[in-house]
Amino acid sequence: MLEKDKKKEKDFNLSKPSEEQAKKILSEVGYGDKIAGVRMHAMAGNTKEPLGSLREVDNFLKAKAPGKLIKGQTSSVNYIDPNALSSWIKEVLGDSELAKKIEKNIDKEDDYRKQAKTIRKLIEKRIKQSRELISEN
Amino acid sequence: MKGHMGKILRLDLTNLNTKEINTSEYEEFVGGHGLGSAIFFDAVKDKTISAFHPDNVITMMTSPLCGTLAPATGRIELNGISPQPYPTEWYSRSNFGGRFSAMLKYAGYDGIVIEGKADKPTWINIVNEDVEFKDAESLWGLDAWETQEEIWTDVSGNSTSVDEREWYQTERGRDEGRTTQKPAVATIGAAGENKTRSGAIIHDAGNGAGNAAFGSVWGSKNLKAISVLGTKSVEVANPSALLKSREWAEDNYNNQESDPKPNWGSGVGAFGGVPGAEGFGNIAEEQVRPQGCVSCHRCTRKRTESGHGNESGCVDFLFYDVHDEQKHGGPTKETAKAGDLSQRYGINVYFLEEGINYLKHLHERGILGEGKEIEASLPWDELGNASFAKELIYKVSNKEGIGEDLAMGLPRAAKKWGRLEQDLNSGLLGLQYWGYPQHYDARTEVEWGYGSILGERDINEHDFNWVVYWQVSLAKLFGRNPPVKAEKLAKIIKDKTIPYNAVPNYSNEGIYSKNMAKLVAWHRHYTRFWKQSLQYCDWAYADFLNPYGPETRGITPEGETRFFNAVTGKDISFKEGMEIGRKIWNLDRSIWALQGRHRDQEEFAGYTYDVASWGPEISPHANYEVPYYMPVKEDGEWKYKNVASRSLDKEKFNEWKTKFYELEGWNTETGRPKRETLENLGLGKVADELEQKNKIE
Ligand code: SF4
Repeated sequence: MLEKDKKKEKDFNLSKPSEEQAKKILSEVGYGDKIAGVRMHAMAGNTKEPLGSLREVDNFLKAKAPGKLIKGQTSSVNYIDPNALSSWIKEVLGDSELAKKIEKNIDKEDDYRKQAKTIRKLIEKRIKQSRELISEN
Repeated sequence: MKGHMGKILRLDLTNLNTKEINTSEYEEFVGGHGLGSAIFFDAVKDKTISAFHPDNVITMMTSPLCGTLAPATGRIELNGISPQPYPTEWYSRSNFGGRFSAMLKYAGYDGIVIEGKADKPTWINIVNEDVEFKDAESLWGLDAWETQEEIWTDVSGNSTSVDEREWYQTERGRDEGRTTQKPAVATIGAAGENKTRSGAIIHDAGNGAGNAAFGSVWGSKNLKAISVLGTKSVEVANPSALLKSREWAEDNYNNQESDPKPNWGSGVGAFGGVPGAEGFGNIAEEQVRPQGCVSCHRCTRKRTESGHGNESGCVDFLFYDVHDEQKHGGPTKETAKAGDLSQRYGINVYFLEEGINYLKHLHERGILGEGKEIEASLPWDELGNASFAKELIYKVSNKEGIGEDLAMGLPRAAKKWGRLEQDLNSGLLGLQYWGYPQHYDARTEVEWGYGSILGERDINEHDFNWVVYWQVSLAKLFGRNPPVKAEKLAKIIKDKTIPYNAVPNYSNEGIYSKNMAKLVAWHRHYTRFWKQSLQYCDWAYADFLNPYGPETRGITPEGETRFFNAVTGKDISFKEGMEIGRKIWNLDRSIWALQGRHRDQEEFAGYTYDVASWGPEISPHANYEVPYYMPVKEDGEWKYKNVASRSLDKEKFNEWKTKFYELEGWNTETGRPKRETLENLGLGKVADELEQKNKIE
């Protein structure tokens, strides 16, 4: 592996959470603790969707996948403010490490499509880790 | 005027007879909305009647351009008193595309005026000059698609064989009564039949006039459907000029295969887009082919491989995509299926979009549900599947359970629940203007909000929106440069907004300025004539910026004028067209005045002034703003600036209203047109009626 790829890989490294942390990471939070996703659409306008778990956040970002976003008047973007997301992950899900990784990685990008891709990569990794941990025990 | 067929069909449902109006009597109003407003003004003596009163009149008007090769003009305009707005049922408008408008012209009519109330379910069969009132008992209760299929069969003499269909006479010439077409049918579903405040009129698979609930007015008149089949032609004054203009538009403003792909995304110009480029948006991957209204070069509709979502566009299916994605981890066909249900039941999708969101919030807050403060039985576990949409749509359309309240429309339902004021003040219920769902936000993109509150409904006109917000914000979001610099955009818009030459300055000062009054006035006058009266479609016009146009300039204003003059043989300038738009806008304003409109009523929902953060408050983590970049001029410099997190200052907005009324020649105390203004526009008799009713000072 090239040095720069190793470094890149390191940016996505997440240490294994404890079982208790994993449960919290996979939990669905109550209405008053939800984060919002905004479905932006050229002709239809914006709508705000409450999201209550990392899985929902991932689904939301995945749905309008980056790369397909500019399609004229029916173009659509599912947007979550990256800073709001990292503070939600830290304060509500209690996952400071994931929050920090998101902050660090998105700082390098000024294209939301790339930010969303990075966020999804980290979130999916965290969900997988947590699920494995819980099924192991 | 060439392009006109010469007569308008008057349908008297009470007495089941027809009359005709010579279009020439109303020629100064040209077509579509203008014709509709002028006829409505004469036909409805008491403008304060309710939408469901038998004396309410619904007009359906084409334009001289419909049914010709003028690009993207295949739509029809509907006017009448609408049951949808809150708190007053304003005189309003709606519009749908497809084949109906052209077919009506081919049958020999420029429009239809629907009056009175039938004593039993009725449908109308128009085949050229033969007009028949038919019993619709057997159609009542059928959905919009079933109804059309029944009528197609009926009009074809109950034969499914092409050879036996009366109109399909290959040995006859076209102008002697031959057509290969099915009749064009406009119909209502259960939401209209049962007089909800959200009933749409549906035509073919997915063309609908939803945002005025005229389908419910049809329901109140016992009118199930109008079918029309025509075999005539539209006489065009200068066919060669029309063809040349179309070629000129294609060559200069539309995407050509040889054109390099613009770096600001394909299909982003209003006029110049690749047919079918929009496909199914980002919803479920499947093969689609472009489908368009008659004469359209854009073909923004589609036929899908699966058959789900045929012809639906925009909110027709977008009212459900987020829920589908959340349920299934990505978009599936459930979104398109939900869209199909909205077409079949004939229900307004904007109501569904805001309605589902509002109900979901109330449900999650423990306010709405079984045994809760607001009793409601809805299958929340199924949200995201079409089955949830079906249950909700069925209940509303048939006024069952929670549907009984919702059939009154969201503002009236929230009022009944004792929540209206608090939810409008907090923004939990996003009805920003006249009880209409916030489409684009008056706090950021003021021309949308101001136009809506000075009018009668969500304007749903993307003329500025497309270039001042979407293209810019998307570019910023993706770390790119916007298509052109703010200064250039301002210059292009200034050049093209003849005769007011307004600049798009959305700064905190700019939104309350006289210049913004000019921009909003231009928008109101432009759309009233060029779009709503001539039927130039919102998906293609106004075209300010165009990636394929000379120096990225769009086809507006040259295109609109060229096509119009070629069809009609007139030689009007764009400015003259704008003046007709101003006249129509003042006529509408007078009708609202007669309905009781006063400047004090022209206020947005409370959250517009009090809440900077957009959307319902969920949690502290949900209150961020999406980027909303717009052109601003600050300290003499043009730039794009994120104007999100802005609320309107009520006092300044009211001062702005005064500036706007002054510009329009309206009384600044009441907001009603002055006699002098109306007389100068040739609307003296309108001034007389206002005076008679004490609505002019
Ligand atoms: S742009 Fe789309 S909606 Fe408008 S006329 Fe063309 S096909 Fe119809």
